[in-house]
Amino acid sequence: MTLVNALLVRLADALLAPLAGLPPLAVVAGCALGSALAVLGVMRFTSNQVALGLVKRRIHAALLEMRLYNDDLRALLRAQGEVLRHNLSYVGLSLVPLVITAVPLTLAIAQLQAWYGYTGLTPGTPVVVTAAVERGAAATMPRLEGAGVEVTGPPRYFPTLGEMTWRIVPRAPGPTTLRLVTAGGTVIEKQLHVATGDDIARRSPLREQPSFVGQLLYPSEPPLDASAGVTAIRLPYPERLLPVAGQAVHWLYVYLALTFAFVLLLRKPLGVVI
Amino acid sequence: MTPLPARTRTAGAMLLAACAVALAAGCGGGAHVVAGQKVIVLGIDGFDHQLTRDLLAAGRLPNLARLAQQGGFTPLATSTPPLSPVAWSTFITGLDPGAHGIFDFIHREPDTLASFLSTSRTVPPGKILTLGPWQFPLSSGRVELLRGGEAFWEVLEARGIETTIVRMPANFPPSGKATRELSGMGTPDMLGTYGIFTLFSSKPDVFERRDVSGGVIQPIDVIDGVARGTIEGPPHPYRITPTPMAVEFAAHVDASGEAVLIVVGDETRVLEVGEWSSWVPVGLPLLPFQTLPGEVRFLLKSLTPYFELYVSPINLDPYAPALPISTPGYYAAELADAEGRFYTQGMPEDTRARNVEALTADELLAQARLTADETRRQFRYVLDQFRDGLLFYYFGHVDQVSHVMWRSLDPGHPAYTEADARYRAVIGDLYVEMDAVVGQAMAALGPNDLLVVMSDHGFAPWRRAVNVNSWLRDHGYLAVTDARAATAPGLAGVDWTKTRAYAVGLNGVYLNLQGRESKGIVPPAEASRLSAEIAAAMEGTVDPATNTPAITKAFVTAAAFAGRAYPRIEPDIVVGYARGTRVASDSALGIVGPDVFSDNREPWSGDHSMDPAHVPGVLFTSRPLKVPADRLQELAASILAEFGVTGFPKVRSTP
Ligand SMILES: [Zn+2]
Repeated sequence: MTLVNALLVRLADALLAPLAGLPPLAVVAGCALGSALAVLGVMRFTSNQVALGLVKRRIHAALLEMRLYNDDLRALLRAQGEVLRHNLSYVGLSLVPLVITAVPLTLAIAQLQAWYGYTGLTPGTPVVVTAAVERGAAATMPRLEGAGVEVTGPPRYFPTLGEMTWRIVPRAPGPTTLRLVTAGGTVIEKQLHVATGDDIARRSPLREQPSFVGQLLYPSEPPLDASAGVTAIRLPYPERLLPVAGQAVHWLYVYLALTFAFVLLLRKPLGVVI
Repeated sequence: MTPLPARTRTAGAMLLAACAVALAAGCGGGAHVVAGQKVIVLGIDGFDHQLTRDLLAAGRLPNLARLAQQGGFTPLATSTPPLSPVAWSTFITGLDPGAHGIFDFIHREPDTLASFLSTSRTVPPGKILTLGPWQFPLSSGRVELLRGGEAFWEVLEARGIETTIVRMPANFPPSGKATRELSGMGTPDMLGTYGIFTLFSSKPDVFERRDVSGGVIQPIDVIDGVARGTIEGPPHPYRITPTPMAVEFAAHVDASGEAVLIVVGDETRVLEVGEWSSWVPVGLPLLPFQTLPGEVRFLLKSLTPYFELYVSPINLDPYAPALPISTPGYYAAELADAEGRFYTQGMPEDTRARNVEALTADELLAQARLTADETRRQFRYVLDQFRDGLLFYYFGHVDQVSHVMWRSLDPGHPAYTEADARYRAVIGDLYVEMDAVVGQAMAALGPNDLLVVMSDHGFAPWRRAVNVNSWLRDHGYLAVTDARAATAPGLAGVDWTKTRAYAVGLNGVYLNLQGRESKGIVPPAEASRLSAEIAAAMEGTVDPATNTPAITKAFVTAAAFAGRAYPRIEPDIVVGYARGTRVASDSALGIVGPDVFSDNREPWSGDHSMDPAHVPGVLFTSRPLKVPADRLQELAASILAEFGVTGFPKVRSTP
């Protein structure tokens, strides 16, 4: 997974970095269009299009029946049973393409989230860095440092949570590396990207020890070394909301809505039954 | 795996709401015209005329001094009584209280004598479906603004001139008539009150939940390094037996015992002792997967020897307020997006927590600094967005801080101590800061534009307290059945068969009138003679401690107010206390105490609920007004005249 992520991160950065100057909404819309085409393509070539068409017509027929016989309870119940049965076979028929599209889409969403899900920390505004630590590591109170970052106040250790916190004030805009130095001299790194205006850049709020789900959701950095006594480092990146019709909306909503809309719009012209 | 933060989840709902608003606006909105000028009105609550003159003379208010030179500076006569909701309603409508119907902070229901907030009321849903312990409203309830009369910005909007009205007092729920509006004083917290704080304390004398004025004291203990508590919200609307919706939090103490990490839902904050948290969004559980959004701030007061954590009243969430607080509905969210979350509660400075010593003077000042910073940051944003028409922007912290810090300017105060001397500069410094805000507004003016800086009333020391109910008893107008019972609030123990007058709120005295009060004994024909008799007796009252009059003017409202539109709630007499004297808090709550006069020993040591002649506000303008004003009630008409609009208010009520 680490290797896959490293490749995906390179690929995503190669694709998305040149687009960072464009309005986020345009990039998200472009990605939605690409995803819609991918979904339709997979549907076209992996599903049983004929069977799908048949099931859809049967569902329509049963729905019509329900409307026609809505005063006959027995007919109504039977028609309802039909709808249910055909719906199940519809789900069954679309299962394969669904699974095939879900994997790359999830990977793509995780990459897009890193680029468009967060805004940078503001220079001059204090924030708290949190690390989940094992008891032994906390006893020696590791030190936090980073170029362009001022650590203000002592670290705090909360034994009941197994967490340490540091207050930092980012001073210099742009990317930097936070270094957590343990008493034994082990250095654990976490990438930090301070805002330059409202810039688009890869940001990851969490680096943790290896786990499948963790690597799926936070692919930007390799997992932490399990032996260092630090199990996770968190940064409080504010979430980025995109302006849509005067409202602030998370990019994922925009992306999902647009993907859905593109699929509906393009299925007829592309001759795909869904 | 982190779930999407609450703000994201509400974003979808906001999008839908925005579409609905956009559609509605498309149908209803009239076309805007360009007024060709900007008129900016800065309303600074409680900005005192005398103190302003002193600071001007000392050269500390350079921007206001420039204004005074360019346009003018005069005292601005306030309303009767000079209380903020009354005064601002008078400014908004150009009417006296008899015509706009706001006489005090608190009014009483004449038949039950139950008291209620004067400026707004919630109308419960009409039909309710009950199922076991649950109840479900079939129609939605709503809140209503009780202020009568037409707001002056409605007149401008009717002519197509854009208005932006930010934090106008006595404008909750927002009128809906301005182009942009955020409600101010009178906006409740989530409990529907002016603000209920919670103080969690491990002190041994706090062993059970205790209600104090303006707050709740809750016991809490640090067990194995964690203190767990529950912040109580309003009663669950779907439960028949009142059960508060509650938010749980855990405060984890750090290994050195100097900080805590507070966990509320998905949110965490690290607080050192003495530190205020940023806003923490909280969700009051309504249904599975549905919460009512609110926000709180925490203050870690101490960790040793006792754990003490102050939690602010639960404010309505500006991103998704459970009650309407802005026009259009998303304007509050726009302000929050631009400058961060903010106090939506009407009077955010927690002077009541200060008054019961739940906050120290320094803690209250730190909190007032937070509110002032929020409103000043927002002012810069609003000013930047403002292009044309009218902008009204309100600052409330000067008034609130003046109330609890005035003693520092008043060495003759009976409760003055050396400790007060430390704070002597505090109020003056706030005036100086407001002068800088005035400077920002001046910088935004073009050659055609006008800046008005005004206040609703001034300030005076509050040294001596009068229990008006006790005064009425001693003068034979009020009788008690049982002297002990009469020391409970709510006029308990009053013998209504022998009582001809009683007091509720800060300045109002009411006759026990037949046909209005349910146990009324005063025949309506007697009313005006009796009012005049009581007023005359009051004006002759001398405070034995100072040997000076305690009441300089008692207004018989039938004569003082031209408007008489609210006969059921209008007091019969409005008491104008001498400078330095005010009604005792006990009396305002309906307690008939043993003594009439007492020293005021509360931290609340400055006030303005006196004879209006003693507490004028200020009026500065950047150029002479076309129609000059020296009374608050005339000012709106003068502002409208700058836009060429005359004939406001439609119904005159000048006495
Ligand atoms: Zn006041």
